[in-house]
Amino acid sequence: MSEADPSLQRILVALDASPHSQAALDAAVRLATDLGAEVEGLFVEDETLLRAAQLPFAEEVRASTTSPKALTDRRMQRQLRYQAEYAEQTLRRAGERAEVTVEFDVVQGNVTRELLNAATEVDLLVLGKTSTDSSRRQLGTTSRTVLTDAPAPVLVLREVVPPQQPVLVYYDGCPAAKTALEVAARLSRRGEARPIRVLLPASDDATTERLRDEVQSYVGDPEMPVSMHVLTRAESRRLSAFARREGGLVILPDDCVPLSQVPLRQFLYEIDRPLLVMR
Amino acid sequence: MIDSLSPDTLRTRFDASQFDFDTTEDLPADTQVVGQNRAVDALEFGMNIEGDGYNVFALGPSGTGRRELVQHLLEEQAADEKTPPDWCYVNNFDEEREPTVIQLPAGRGCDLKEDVDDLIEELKTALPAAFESEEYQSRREMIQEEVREGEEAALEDLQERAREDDIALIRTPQGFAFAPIRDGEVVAPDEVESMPDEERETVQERISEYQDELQEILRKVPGNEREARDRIEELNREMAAYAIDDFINALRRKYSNLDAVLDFLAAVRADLIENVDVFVQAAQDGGQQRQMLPVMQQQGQQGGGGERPALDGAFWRRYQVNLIVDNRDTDGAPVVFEDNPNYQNLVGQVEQIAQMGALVTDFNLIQPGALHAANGGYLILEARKLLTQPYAWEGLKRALRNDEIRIESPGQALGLMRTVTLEPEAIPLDVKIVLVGERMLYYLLDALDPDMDRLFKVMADFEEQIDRDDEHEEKYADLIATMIADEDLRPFDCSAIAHVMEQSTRLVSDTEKLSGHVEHIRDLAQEASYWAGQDDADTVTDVHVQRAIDAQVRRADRMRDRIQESIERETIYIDTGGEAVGQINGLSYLDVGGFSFGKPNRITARVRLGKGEIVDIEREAALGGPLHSKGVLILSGFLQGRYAQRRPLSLSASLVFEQSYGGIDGDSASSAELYALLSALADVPLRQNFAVTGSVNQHGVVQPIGGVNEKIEGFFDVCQERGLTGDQGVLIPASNTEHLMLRPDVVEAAEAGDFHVYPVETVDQGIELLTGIEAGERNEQGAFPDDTMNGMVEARLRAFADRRRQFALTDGQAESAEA
Repeated sequence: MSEADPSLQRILVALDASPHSQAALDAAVRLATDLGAEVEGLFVEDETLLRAAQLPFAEEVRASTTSPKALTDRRMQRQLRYQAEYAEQTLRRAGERAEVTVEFDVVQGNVTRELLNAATEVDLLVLGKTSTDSSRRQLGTTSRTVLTDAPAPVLVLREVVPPQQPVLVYYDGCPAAKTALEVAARLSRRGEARPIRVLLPASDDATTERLRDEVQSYVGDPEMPVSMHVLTRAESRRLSAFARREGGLVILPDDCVPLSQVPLRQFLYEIDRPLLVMR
Repeated sequence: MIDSLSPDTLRTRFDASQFDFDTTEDLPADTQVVGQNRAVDALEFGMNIEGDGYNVFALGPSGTGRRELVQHLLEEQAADEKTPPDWCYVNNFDEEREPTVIQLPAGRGCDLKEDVDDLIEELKTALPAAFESEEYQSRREMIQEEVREGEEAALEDLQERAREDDIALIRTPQGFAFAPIRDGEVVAPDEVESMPDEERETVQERISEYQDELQEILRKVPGNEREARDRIEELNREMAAYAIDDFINALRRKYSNLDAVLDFLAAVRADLIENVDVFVQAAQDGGQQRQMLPVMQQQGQQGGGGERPALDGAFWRRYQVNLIVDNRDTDGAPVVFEDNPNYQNLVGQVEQIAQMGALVTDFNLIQPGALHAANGGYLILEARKLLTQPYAWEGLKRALRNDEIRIESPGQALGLMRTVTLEPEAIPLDVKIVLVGERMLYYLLDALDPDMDRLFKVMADFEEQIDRDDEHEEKYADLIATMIADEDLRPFDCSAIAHVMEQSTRLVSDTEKLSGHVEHIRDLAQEASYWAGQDDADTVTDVHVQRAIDAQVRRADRMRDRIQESIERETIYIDTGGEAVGQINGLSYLDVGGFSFGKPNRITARVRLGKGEIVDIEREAALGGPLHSKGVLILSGFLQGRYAQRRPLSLSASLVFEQSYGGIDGDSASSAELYALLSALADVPLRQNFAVTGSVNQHGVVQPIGGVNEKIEGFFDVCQERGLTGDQGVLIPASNTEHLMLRPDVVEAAEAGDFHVYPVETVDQGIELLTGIEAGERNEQGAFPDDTMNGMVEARLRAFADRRRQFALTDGQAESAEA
């Protein structure tokens, strides 16, 4: 790992037993391979759940049974332990396959809080977006909070990104955007030469020209499959829809204009693509 | 004493000058048949009469050109008839085991097949494209989204309301749970413990209500999903119909006057829509499935019903059209000759292909038979071939009886096998069958098969001999010219034609007839042309024809040569001069592989006292056939009738064909045997420079026999080899005179007076020739004069009778004498 990137060396992935967590794990492992990083898996035993299970009248409603089932502390603990074991196994197996160093940790507490807490010590947080059919919008509170509040860059995704799809990078000249560009370039170089599309904000010609030059000089390598696109105002306002059409991984700097124009929740819902927010 | 025949009666000459042409080039060469009026009339009758069972059996010896003639006549007739329709098999989408048949006007079957193939090609891209389209994807997503959002909204609403009551909806690993909250956090258990009972109960009650509500929402999920599926299916059908209808409607317009095709198109449309999932799946799989699998997968036959067919080559096969009868290029009605009339080639078959170790099939593998091809026209079959093929005859009869072609394997038809296969819809059959076969087959079938009368009501009987008259001769010449034209041979001049006709007469051994065996004539013409080619001659003359005949004989006469050689080297004893008692040259006739020749045979007779029996040694040794035995019995009848009216016939005689080691049959030697017997009785030697043929009846009349030419030539060859003495000759029945068509060299010898042929009418004439003694007739007293043959025979017989009576008087001596 001679080319290790000091800026993205530790990747934290939030694990549970769901399919989207599996996608997050896959993405994390892939990124770790591409970037020469190591992966830390974190399983949070949700304290809300544990506490709810301790209530004397706790009952669980399931889709498959007709009447609610009593929820006990012991059963809940057992289930969580089982999930944690499963998550660890999956992580270790993925790590072995990709020859990536992995670590695994279980903590108990509030999921969001624990994730934010753990994010302070890593360079990138990968998160599976909850996306079961019935809760794609509502229960995305965790992703939303982490996205806004995490000190590290956050990658949110629902499905694994197919390797040949392009990487979309929004570049407005801010430091986070530079990091974003660098990550994109790195992914393209290490991965199977993914095309990079750099999106430039709608602005006056001089600014656009300046940004263009910056991108050129930053990327440097003429072999790199980079193309640039100046967003129209309409496209900028509806970046989520635009990105969704273009496909692939989307890298945005934190606090960029398109992100601030719409509520994050709506943006996440609409984009439906892996989203990496750099800061 | 009778005279020998004049040389010009020995061979009938055809006068080349009677023909009004120089070479066959001058002839129209359009004669297919000569003198087969009976057969031709019958064929025409059979072809024209409507009605069941008026099929034709053309019978006659092979080589008479029956098949070619039948085909020629049928083609002439069929050219003016209506061209029958085309037939296609298509999938029966309701019951794949029973493919449907479609009838189309001639020529449109091919159109339909091509159109449907085009349609399939179009749909192969159009249908998956419809489901890959942006429009479809978004509409589909919209439906799913609507349902999902309905559920989410309900959940959200519930969550919202619960929150107002300070109750949180929490996801658990396996479902949902409700818990009271305070300040956004789940209330700690001990806090709940410490709640006043009233408050706790309220919370519990509320939670219970929310749980019920949630349960209700979750309960509806499967229903909603089902509804979404239904709506998506509806959408799929709509999209499919939209993609298909343009193409289908274009075809509908094209075939608007053909109801069966419209039905088929409707069925195709319905089936495509019903199987729309295949295209949806293919579109979702990104078209990977569209790569065709090399093996055909049969739907409906294996794998059971519920399985969804894959979108590969096999899937599209179900919509294809299997054109089994294509009359696009047929002018008039079809005339089909099936060379190999086995069961499958007649009624068609359902082929199968091996796939993963199992045999599978579909309607595309239905193969037509000759009956399909000939439907609406004529089918020519050779009876012998048909009858040697298992079940072919039964299969043909069944089709004719039922007036339909039902494709079944023989095993199926016999009910022996019930493997899974197809039962294609039967096709109505309207065909005239012409069976071509030997007479024997016809008569056997007629005697043994009760269906014969009903199914083959017309017999067309072909002659092997054609009456010889001016008109026929003229046509015969043109027939030869036609063969020459057909085979592209050198032209024949009139002498060659005359010589061919002489040979034709010789072939039937009758100067009043010509051979109907056109195969032989064709061979002769071909070979004569070859020899002309060897001579670098432009036209074929009689010399070439004779050379062809000689060469034919030369190729075939090894056996005759060996026999002649044996006679020459006196391994076989034949005398051609001198005299001997009780010994005569008979003539036998051999047929070896189509080549026939005569050979002389020594016949001897011995007599002694006995009780009136003539021993035929051939019969005793089981070497004589029944006809030969009959001849000998007739002979003894003659003896008894003529010489033993007043006293018992007290002789014992034995007759034998010397040096005959094979079987012998026929009565043509009975006159020779009688002469030998008379010679032995009268003790008068017979002249050995003669050979004798002819049968005899009980009154001593000499009757005609077959193969007279070959027999004369057989003796001639022996005599010639030894040197003709001038007194040698053959006695033949007088009634055989008109059958004489002797070889030119025999005729030449006769002309030179070196060889003679005597026409004999009665035994008396013959014996006079052979002995030089008068036969003698009974005088007024009823006795033969003593110095005649008959007198001497009668005297000997009388002596035998007297001696026998004496023996009878002296009992013991008679016994011992007899023993």
